[in-house]
Amino acid sequence: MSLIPDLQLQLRDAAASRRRRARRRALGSLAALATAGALVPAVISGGGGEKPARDRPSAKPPHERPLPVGTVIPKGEGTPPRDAESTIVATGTAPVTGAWQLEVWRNHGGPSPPGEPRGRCLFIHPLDPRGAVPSGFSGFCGGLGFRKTPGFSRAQHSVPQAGRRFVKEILVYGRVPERARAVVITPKTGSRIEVKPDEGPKTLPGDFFVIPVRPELGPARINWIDRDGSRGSRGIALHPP
Amino acid sequence: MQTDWSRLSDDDLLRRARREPDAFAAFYARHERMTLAFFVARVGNPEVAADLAAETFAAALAGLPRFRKRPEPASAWLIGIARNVLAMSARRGRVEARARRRLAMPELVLTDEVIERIEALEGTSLELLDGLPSLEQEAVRARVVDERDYREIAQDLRCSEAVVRKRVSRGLAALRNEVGETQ
Repeated sequence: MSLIPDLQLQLRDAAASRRRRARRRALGSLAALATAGALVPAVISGGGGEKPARDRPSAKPPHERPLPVGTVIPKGEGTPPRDAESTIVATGTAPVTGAWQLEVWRNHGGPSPPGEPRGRCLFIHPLDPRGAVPSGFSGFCGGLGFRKTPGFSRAQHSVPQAGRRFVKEILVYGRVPERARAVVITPKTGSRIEVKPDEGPKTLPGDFFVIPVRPELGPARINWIDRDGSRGSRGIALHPP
Repeated sequence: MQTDWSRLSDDDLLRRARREPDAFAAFYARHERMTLAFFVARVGNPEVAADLAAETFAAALAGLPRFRKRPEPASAWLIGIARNVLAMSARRGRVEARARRRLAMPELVLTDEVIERIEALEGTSLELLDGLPSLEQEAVRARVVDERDYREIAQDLRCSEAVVRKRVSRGLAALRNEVGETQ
């Protein structure tokens, strides 16, 4: 028997209502797609050389659209409320995830998020899931470059499909040195993906990238290349979804 | 047909909990005492311990889509969340309730009887540690009580990280069974 039966019931109800909300969202997304006759674009955007998503016309309410690069979100503001002052370094739109916002903030050593190392943190915030379950935000702290790939980092945010268990899209994101001409994902099989990184605000060194990839991509490595086409680092393997 | 949740592993419960609310309730029931004992040993107040445990399970529920099967047991994942909740609460000077608010969970009301039962858990975990084989005791104490990294523990114990994880896993499973049987 449970020690706090009320808490067990509360958690059970919360789990049930989460499930109901996810199903409603899934049905809502399907209905919206059916009404608009829209097809989810297969071409990846965001972080690329295309016109930034924030400049494209959109009928969406303003809160679903990313804020301009360089915007500073004060501590305690935003959804969810930010734990520290956060600067938007890149924005864009992915086929499944919808609009996203990449942010940098500084962890001064407090447990925020708990257990993360001190230093700059890079977090991605999906703003408007389309056919996906809202998957919260993710990121890492401890500096924007990895120890073995100075100035270059890679993180991944898996986006599950609404009503399904499996991952539908992976946002590969990170930071590259200013001299990077492009970020390149080279899969073991299939063609490589090359994306021009975003400038980011002048107040922060380096450029930033977010590359939405499909989970079927398979084993792959990511690296950056300079203006001569030379590899910038030893590269980093992508995690499987 | 009713599912016998007790036959499922923690990983399976958490996997099924994404679709079946009863699976998460079963996961809660399985780890409730361990989590409460963890908090009551640290804060010494049964009501605060209950609130912290509630926030821990709410955060675990909210984090279910991100849960992946790992080499360490799911109880270690839960204790990791518990540590984060405790650290965040200590930093803010109040019991963290963000996850509960997000899930629209009502405030927890405890009866005197429940408070007494939680109070009785104080020290349970540490006493029970003594009943574990010495290698498991050492690993659980280093990981859960002293909150050290697996790598660091492995260096100290002169074994691989995988071996430490295994010992912690076995130790926590034994403690869980023990706590379940003694209550």
